[in-house]
Amino acid sequence: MSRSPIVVIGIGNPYRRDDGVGPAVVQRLAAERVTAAALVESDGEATTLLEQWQGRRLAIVVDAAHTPVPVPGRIHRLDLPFAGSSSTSSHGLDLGLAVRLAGELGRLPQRLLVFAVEAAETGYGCELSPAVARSVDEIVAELRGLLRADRTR
Amino acid sequence: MTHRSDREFRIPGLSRVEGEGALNLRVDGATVTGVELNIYEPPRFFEALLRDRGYLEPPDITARICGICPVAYQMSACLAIEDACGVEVTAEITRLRRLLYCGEWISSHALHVYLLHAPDFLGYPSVVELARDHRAEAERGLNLKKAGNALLELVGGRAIHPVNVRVGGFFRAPALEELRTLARNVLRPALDDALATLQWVAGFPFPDFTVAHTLLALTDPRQYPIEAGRPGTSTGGSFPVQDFERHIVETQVPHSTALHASLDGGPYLTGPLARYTLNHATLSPLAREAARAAGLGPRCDNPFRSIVVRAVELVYAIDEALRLIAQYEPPSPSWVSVPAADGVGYGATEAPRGVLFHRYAIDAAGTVRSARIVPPTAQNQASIEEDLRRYAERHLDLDDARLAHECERVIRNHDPCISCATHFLNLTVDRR
Repeated sequence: MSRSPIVVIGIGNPYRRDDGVGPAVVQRLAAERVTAAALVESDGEATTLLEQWQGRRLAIVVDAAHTPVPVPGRIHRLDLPFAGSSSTSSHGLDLGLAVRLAGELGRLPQRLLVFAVEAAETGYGCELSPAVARSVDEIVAELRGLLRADRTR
Repeated sequence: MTHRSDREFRIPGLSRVEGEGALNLRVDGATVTGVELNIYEPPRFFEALLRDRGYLEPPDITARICGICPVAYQMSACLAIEDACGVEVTAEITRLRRLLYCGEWISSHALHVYLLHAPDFLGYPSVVELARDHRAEAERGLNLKKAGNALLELVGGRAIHPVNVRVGGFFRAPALEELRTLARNVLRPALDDALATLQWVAGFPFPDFTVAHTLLALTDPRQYPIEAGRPGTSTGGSFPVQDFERHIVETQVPHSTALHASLDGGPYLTGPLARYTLNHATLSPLAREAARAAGLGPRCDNPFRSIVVRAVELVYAIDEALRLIAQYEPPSPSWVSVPAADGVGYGATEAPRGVLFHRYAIDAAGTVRSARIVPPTAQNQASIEEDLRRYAERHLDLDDARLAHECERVIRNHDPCISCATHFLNLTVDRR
């Protein structure tokens, strides 16, 4: 089977509540049997992200985000060039750095779309907080439309 | 440059380490009066949440402690539980575990050598700037990481938190042909990449700095220790795994949420430097010769040269994986039955960053009654602080920014894994 030109990557830990918003979006798309894109859950490790999005026409990344004054569930949509923050990710290399490294090595997708969802709860557990759960509905609906539009291009 | 008699500075967020930590350094005149490696990630209470869980669950639960070395947690947990239940797995299963573990060493060491550590020696703030000037080397690092991940995926089911491991063995043993294909297409070229890596890092400029730490590593007269071994020390000590807690004592310190450990009352070092120094003789001929050609003697006391030792271990892990695949016979069955038994079991393996110890008490019904986990980074904190004290004292003529940078390098020598469960995109919104 040929590689899909589109990938949706959900970054996060589904056992830390709202940190799992990315995987939740991917799981929802999988449950709806979306076939127009490759669906990937990721812990955000940079080199694996490079592998996943390299050579794709469109890579969509969904991740939880920290903001100084959070509005839980608020969605930020970021296009390339993505300005990553300082590297304080738990794996030493964050999404911003992954994008910059991919840029240096010519491994960026043609288009990178990032959905960053402001988190409310990140304690132990699998349930998303209500506001973040609603953001999953919103992102899934938007992606459905985006993938449909892409197919009829 | 002004030279003040007393200085105090803090690096609030260490970069290029696994997890989140800080450093506080206090200086009075020409003396470093305080060094605190401040690990401020909240404790996660894994040992407590393992209590009352089923005895087959710890490999999957403890794998979640770390995204970089989940196999280490799975292997130490399996050994400890099998020990508690009085079961020994077959030699074929042990070899397959060793093969899986090679994948983790390759992936973890490639990550540290190329993406976290190499920029320090070539004067770059991160791998991004390094990649701009050394594209071929950056690509080689990514290829090595990918090779490790491919081995983890084939044997473990997936690269992060593998799902194919179970107490007693594996849910499914990979087919010989799958492994041969991987060896031919991925691991053979990766071995060349690893040898080139060793040659590359051996040429880096290293500060003249040695520290004679007491060392702790697993040892095995037959092979370089990975998935098993007997704890041994550089002072000639050796003890069975079940005596680990008689020698290694953990204590709380106010400035860290990770426990500090001592070996027979003193600080010590575990990890690649200790492993190499105590086990150099059991490296494969290829890895031993490559180490010699890279200028390494039978021991390495310079923490900055740990990058060379990691590169030697990269060569070894790939060479060993190829050997294991060449001799592979799928274990049949792929796992042995481990009936629950009332007992206490101990397990220790060599995680990429050093000895990882697990102990479980299990009752006859198969319920975990207590759990104890001693990870490598906790064991190394006191020695990292000692390195910092010595190194900083020699470089007090540097201004704060430069001294801070040098201190970060000292910490990164030991690849600390300030383990993590969540990871956030730090987002700053500039509204105009």
